[in-house]
Amino acid sequence: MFFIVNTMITFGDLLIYVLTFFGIYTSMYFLLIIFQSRKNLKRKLTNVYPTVAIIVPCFNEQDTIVKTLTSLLNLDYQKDKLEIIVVDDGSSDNTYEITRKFIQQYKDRNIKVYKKTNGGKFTALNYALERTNAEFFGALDADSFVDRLALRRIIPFFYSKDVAAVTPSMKVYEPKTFLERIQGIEFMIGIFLRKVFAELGSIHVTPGPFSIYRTDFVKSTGYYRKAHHTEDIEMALRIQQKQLTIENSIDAYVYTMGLTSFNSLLKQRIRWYSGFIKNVYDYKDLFSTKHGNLGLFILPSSFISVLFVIVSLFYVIIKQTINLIDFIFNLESINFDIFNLNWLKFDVFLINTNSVAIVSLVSLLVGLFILYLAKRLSGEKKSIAFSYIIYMVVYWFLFGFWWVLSVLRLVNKKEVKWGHKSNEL
Amino acid sequence: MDSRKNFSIQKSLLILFFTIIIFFSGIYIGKLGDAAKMNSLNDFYDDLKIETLSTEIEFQLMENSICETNDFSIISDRLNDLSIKLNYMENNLGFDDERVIRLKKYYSILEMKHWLLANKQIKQCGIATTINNSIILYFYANGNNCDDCDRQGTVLSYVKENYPDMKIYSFDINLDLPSITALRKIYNVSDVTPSLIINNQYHEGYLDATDFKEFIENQN
Repeated sequence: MFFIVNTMITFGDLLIYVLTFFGIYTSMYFLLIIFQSRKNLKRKLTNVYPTVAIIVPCFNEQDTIVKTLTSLLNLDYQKDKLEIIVVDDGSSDNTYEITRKFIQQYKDRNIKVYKKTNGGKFTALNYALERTNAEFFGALDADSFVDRLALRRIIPFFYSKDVAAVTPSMKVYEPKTFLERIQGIEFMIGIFLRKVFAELGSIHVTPGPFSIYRTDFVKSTGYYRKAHHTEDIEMALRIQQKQLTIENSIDAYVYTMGLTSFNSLLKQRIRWYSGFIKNVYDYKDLFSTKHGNLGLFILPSSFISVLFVIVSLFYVIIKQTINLIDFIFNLESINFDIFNLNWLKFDVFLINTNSVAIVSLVSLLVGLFILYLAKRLSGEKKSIAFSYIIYMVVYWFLFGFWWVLSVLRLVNKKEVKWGHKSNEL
Repeated sequence: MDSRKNFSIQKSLLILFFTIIIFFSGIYIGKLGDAAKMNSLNDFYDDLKIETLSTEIEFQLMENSICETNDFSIISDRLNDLSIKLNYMENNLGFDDERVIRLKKYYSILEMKHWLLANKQIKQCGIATTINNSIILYFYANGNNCDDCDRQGTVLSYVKENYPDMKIYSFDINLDLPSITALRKIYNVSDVTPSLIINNQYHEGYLDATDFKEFIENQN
């Protein structure tokens, strides 16, 4: 339109400049780290087989337990060194019976099942830990399954007594729906980030499914704790506090089913994010020079990025609401006769090429490069272009929204409950 | 302790250095883009100036046949085009950017020249005023000083779309230009924006599309 008079909102430009500068800085840092460690990203498959226990905590998992156990039995690992412990955390369905029946079919394998009264995931894990002497252990949720080489790829990363845990690479299994696709890209970027964090000695979350721990460490430091329903975050922070190492095996794939309902995803994220804040508060002494990259760079930048996302979310919502109101008022002035207004006036001159646009474009390109690397590192073969477009448009909004609600829950001091469905783990 | 945990000030500063280079290169490229656009706008203006002067001379030479010239509406469309681009640059560089202000002054003078020629053509050719060949002078103010200017702009875009031969000339009342001051004096244009002079008749304040059409219809 040719007479429109606009006000320049400098706060918006400033916000974009700060965001892009921060984004380019952290991205460049991460790219440098990956570049420096490019030859050591993977390790050879192990030919040494220490004893490993895999715990499967379940609550009403009768539909998925067989698939999970089958994937564990298919693991390429010395049979007599692999122990599988199923803990039925007070299910009201036939999880226990189905598991028992399954065990009968595989008498040559070391599988045990226990049933206990419901107490939450951490109690199920501890219940199993008290009953194993395996050198290493991990957990696998009943809605996740593992690549057959995953364990053989993880074990070589326990190259020193200082390595207390090794994380796998989590992927969303065949994402199809809108929300699954978003989670698919999010997990893919997570694979890249976790490797970077490992190379900075700064992994601060050991994902629930198939992170493998040194059993001695967990037992000697007091087993699992309730930890605000995010025991995996607490465990990672505990390891960091003890100045031990968490490694990442980037090609040890674990597949999990993406959440398909907006509400269950929201519930999961509120639990994750508020759990993260509470656990980090419990381990606030990690913010110190003593903890190097984690205390000085990774944890502070995690909170800074969340702050930026929340501020930009509010800014965009307020700005777009004002624009929408103006737009409606403008249309009202022409009696909403939108068909007699030329919407398609296009001129190359009017393509935005100012500094804000160029700097935003640069950070977008850096982001795309990181995604390309993430795709390569995660071994993903399928095209992700469509998923990425959805992710780009929606994710930051959802991310900001989840964080705002998580913070509000914390302010209201509302207890966030652990979802019983294991795919909310 | 794992040596990878150690925070490297050297590495951080190195990355900071490269980030600053990339970031400010981006800003610089953006500024170069703005400058290139301003240059192309200046060229555009120069072309338009030549065309307007040429039409003016054409009018003087063909005293009795100016009614037949077609160049007039072409220049009018190009003036609108310049207006859109100027508006874009204004939003990009700011209302107080000296390059924008200067070009805007030139543009306003060109508009006035065109307006004078349009009036001359109507008088000499005895063209009856209809809504389609109406001549509108639109006085606006930039920034937050005029709540209704945005809406008035939409209304004028809309009527121009429906009546392509209508001639609309817009003037920023805050532009320090003696010819705009003179024009305002002639029509007693107040400081209220938006204000309109529709076929030589002054109207203070905003007019929506319906009222705007009614205003012209009542004139006839």
